[in-house]
Amino acid sequence: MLDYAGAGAVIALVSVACFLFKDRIGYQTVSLILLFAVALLSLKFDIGQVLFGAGLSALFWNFFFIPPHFTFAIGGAQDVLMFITYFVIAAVTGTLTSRVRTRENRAVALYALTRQLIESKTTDDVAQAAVSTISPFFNADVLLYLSGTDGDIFTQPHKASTMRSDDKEYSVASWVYWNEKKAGKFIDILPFATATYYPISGPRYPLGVLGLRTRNGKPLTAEQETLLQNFIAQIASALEREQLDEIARQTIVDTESEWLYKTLFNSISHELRTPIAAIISSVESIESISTAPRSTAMDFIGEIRTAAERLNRLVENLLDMTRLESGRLAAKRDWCDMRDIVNASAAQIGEQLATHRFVVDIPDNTSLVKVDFGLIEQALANLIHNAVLYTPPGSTITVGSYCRESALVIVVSDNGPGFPSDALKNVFKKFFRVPGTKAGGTGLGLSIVHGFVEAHQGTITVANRIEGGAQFTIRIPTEILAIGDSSQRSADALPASFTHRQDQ
Amino acid sequence: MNTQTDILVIDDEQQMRRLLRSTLESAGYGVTCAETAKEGIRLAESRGFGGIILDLGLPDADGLTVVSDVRRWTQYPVIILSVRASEQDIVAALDAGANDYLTKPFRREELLARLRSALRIYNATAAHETVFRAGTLTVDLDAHLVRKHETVIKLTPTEYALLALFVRNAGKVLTHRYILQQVWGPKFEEESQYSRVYVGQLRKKIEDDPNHPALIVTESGIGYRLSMND
Repeated sequence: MLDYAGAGAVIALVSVACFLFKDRIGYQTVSLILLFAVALLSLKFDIGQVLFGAGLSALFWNFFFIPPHFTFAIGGAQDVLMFITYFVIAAVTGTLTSRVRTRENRAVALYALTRQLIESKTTDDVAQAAVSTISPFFNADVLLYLSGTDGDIFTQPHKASTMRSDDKEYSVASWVYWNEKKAGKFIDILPFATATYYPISGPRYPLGVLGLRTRNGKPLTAEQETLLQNFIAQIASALEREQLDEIARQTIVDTESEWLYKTLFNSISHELRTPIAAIISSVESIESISTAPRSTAMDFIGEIRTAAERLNRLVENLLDMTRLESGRLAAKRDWCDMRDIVNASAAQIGEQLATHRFVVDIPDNTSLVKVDFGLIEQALANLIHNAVLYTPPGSTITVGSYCRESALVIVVSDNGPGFPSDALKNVFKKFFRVPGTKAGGTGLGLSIVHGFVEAHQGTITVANRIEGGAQFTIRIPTEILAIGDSSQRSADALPASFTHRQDQ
Repeated sequence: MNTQTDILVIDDEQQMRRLLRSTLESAGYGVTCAETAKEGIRLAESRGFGGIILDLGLPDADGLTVVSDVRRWTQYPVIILSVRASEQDIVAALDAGANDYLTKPFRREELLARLRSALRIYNATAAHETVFRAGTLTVDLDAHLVRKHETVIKLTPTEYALLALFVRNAGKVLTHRYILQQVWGPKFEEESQYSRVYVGQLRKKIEDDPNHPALIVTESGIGYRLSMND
């Protein structure tokens, strides 16, 4: 009713304005101005109000402007013709503009839905987009049922739905699902339902059912029905796309966890069982040869020690990996002397390092750097141990370090065979082992190094040296405390004389 | 070796208790075992021990609680057993008054050496030993004299204070925080670069090979130790 009053008010206002100038513009021109006002009305109001405005303006024009004034009588035949033409033009203009506007609204709604559907990443997004578009557009409550990714029938309405379901509604929805025909209120089939149900059909199986209950309790017009079918078609294709996507994603996850399981199982069971087998059989041997020479027993004891150390290393690696995977690993930085760290790493490898030439290339007055001692120690120990395992005895392993541009650079290199070029990009991947390498090792060591360096916001790269062998280069951004030559320093120089650089 | 020394072992793992018992008994110590922190504290309160070997990961209470509790009435050595993952816990226990630590798995000789040092430092505090020898190094705390290969070495006052601290605690691990506090004062507890720099300088003067220190050894993530292995 308010809309009618608004339309009437606009016409009245324009009429009053024209009336003030009617002597100057003449009553024919007034008709054009009023027509213009009616056309404008159709941009804002529905067809009913526009026609009301058209009629009202015709009456005003007749009453106030066509002579004789202030009567509905029309003087000449010319004026009668003009009045009829005016009314027809006003009605047609209003109707046409209004219809164009409705179409535009529908196009906009369809476009909005399509865009939202394209942006949807999951079936939940699709459902949300469908309900949030359809419900306001048709001024209706929406009940949405979606089937499972394998075409199983739904049991619950989707949580985006704006109306509740009950057994009755569900039974109608499932009929629609099985028969892929619309049913429910206003339809010959199952009209006892409170909503009308439309199937959402997919190419292989029904994707779901959409229930619609208009809030004014009236059925949809034929035009609205067509539009709803358009909406449903869009929703169906989006659902289809998302469901295929989800199936594909699940397949990837399945394949990956299958692979992870196999790798873990193979490498861990091998790495665990070998030393355990060695320990058990060595112990049994010692028990059975209690009379044998002591040196024989010592050999077996040596085997037990090696096996136990191997087990210990494996457990350390698994624990380190777990720490990394937990995502809670943070580098606890403190001032460190790189030579200390390298010594600690070498001490960890212990006697195994004796088969190789180990060279530390760090200047005497090396700067202090702020890193996590334990993490860098473990990272270097893993790199050195790796070199010990995969280079022939007698090879040289070199650890060098220097500071450059507020970064610590550590280089670990060897003169062994290096990596096959196609393996270089994979060496830091979890469980990766260079194909064809000897038994032993889980493929965890280097990925742990990578993780520990990353915990320092650092980078690690690997390359084969031109002169042969592998070279790992670690770069870690850090504060640097240059020490200078202590012999040049006056006795007990205060720490203030340290060159403290923090120019990151 | 003092054959009368009784050691209290607090560890919840039966196999570890058996191992510690046989290791310690074979070295001439008397051994009493406790499974829980509660039982350990009760035993420690009820009678005197020469020292305690304490597992940090006890089921009923944090090992740290035991250290603080025991430290309220006695200064005898407490040696911590822990797994490597717990650096912070070790430092906390040491700062709370534990004398030393060992990470599992540990070597028999290492355990006995740590225990010997801890007992010696505890007894030396009473006996006022003042001359220390390790390899070619001699430190006379009374005379303020440091000799290497019988040649007197010149140290700055800070270097000497640092070395004297190590000597008085020979064989025992000292946390960075403790060293900073003792040599530079409580305000400098967080200024870890000081101890790093001065340990580096000291190593150049007293070590045979400063790049592979054998006297002042670094304990990863914890501190330094003046080695008694020579």
